[in-house]
Amino acid sequence: MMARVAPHPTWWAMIRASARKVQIYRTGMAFWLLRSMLELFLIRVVWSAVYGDRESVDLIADDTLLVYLTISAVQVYILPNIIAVEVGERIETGQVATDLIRPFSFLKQMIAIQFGSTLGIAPVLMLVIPAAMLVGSLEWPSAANGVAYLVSFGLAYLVSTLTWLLVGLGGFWVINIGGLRALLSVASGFLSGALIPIWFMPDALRIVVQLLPFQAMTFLPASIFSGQVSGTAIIGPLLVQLAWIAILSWLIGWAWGRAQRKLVIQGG
Amino acid sequence: MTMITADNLVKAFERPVRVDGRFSAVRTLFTRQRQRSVAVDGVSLRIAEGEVVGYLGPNGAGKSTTIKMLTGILVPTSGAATVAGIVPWQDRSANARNIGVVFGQRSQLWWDLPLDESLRLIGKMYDVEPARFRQNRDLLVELLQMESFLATPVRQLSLGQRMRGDLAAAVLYEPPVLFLDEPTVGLDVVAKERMRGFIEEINRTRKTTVLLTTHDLDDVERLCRRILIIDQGRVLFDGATADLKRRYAPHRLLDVTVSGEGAAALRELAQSPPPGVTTNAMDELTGSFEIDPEVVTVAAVIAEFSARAPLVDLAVREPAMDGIIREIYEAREITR
Repeated sequence: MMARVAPHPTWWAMIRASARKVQIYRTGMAFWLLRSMLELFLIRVVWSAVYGDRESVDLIADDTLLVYLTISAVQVYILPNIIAVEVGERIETGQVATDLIRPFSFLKQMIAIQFGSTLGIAPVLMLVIPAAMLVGSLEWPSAANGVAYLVSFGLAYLVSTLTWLLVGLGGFWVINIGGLRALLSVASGFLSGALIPIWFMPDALRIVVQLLPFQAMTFLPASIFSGQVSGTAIIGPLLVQLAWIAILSWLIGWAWGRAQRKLVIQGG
Repeated sequence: MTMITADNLVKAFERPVRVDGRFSAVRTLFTRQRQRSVAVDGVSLRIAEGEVVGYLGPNGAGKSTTIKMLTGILVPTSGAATVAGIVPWQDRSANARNIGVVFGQRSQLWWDLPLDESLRLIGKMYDVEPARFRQNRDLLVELLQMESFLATPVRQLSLGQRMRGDLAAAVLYEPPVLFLDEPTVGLDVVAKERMRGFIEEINRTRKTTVLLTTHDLDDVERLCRRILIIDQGRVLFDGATADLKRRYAPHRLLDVTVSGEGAAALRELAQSPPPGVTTNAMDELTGSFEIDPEVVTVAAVIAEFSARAPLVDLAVREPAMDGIIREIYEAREITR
């Protein structure tokens, strides 16, 4: 049988519906933009104070670090995690029953919702980049790093989508994943290198971090953007990201297979 | 043609046993003991194309669980089933195209989007051709009178409007089988009647097979020629609605009113009714009796009553459905 070349129209329809849903809550987006700007500004102020008059710490130059932290923060805004909330809520309320009677698989529906919600906030994201240049510290990378960064960020987006989808599927076993999600959200801020670059971590911690998917969401693309990694060395982080996409896809398939037998519809 | 089959369908749920005493929450988390409850316990059924079947039973009887297996949402513990020739939980996506589902307790529409947008999304999901989509959508909007709230986000709709939207969503792609899980729950009289009229219409024009669970027996009397009664996961009755009455409530009810001078005669009749007749209620000038047709014919009873008392009015009634169902449920209650 011929593989379908174009994605099923349901993808686009669901993405659009999800984007529209996000845009309904405009005030939420305004606050979100305000929060991002405040955070970017604080990163600049705080870290500039840490460096003081020194030009580098542990061989990491002042401005490289600031660019790294700023782009990391921007990435965290864009990177998906709504999918874990969405999946968790659907299981917790039993709404998953109505998703399962669709001819379009549940996992695809959830991924489409995630893509759509990113698309929905895209107009605001367009504002965050100039804002980051204005109040934060953002400098454009070289052309080669810039292209590599776009690829790497695309992969980071997928790693993030799949990781949080997997967390959401945990709801089939523990019903309320709120606690797990909160724990991982906090952990991921730290483990992804968004708060403190992985360069500064002690060896033992660095090994743990490198064994988890979170660094593939933030640290790897950000280090390409900030120019810490360049030339042919860029291929390394990209391969790590691809490996995570493969591992997570397999885990999701495995978990989903078991979840269907485990399913209990809450609320009758 | 048989549209829905089920053979010995069983669904058991397991959950950890709650541990009492110190640190109960933590110990519950780690206990290996499991509690097993059987929601559906060997249900078998055959439903032919174009049939409208009422699936009845008290709360927790296993109705919804059966529906969830036939719609492919739940995987049964054991047993077999097919819907339009497909095993629902094995080929969920193919099954989804053959079935429309309405859960009265929850909506399948997108909460934040206008109703119209939800319908369009469903049209896309089920690969409805654009021309066909417009035609079906327009027909449904007219039949269910949805024009005035098509552009309203679903979360702002009244329950009656929302249910109409859900029903439209379930039949938009013309599925041959319709599963309705309490489609009239919480609706007012007018809204209920509109839903029933619509289901009747869809069944008549499209030959849609309908399996309907409800607690509203007016739904059943209006729509279903056949009913299945289930309790504790087992089928108690499967047959024509008329047979149910013959089997569980063959008696007839007779209400009489006498003129003023007949009061004494009526009292006497009520105190010692003829064989095959029992007194249900008695007032000064009116009485209500139950006749067992196995013992005496209704005609003979009327003849005897009118000979003994000056009747000014009489009415013969069949027992109401809800009385019969209540009796069946209560009889089961005792054996529990």
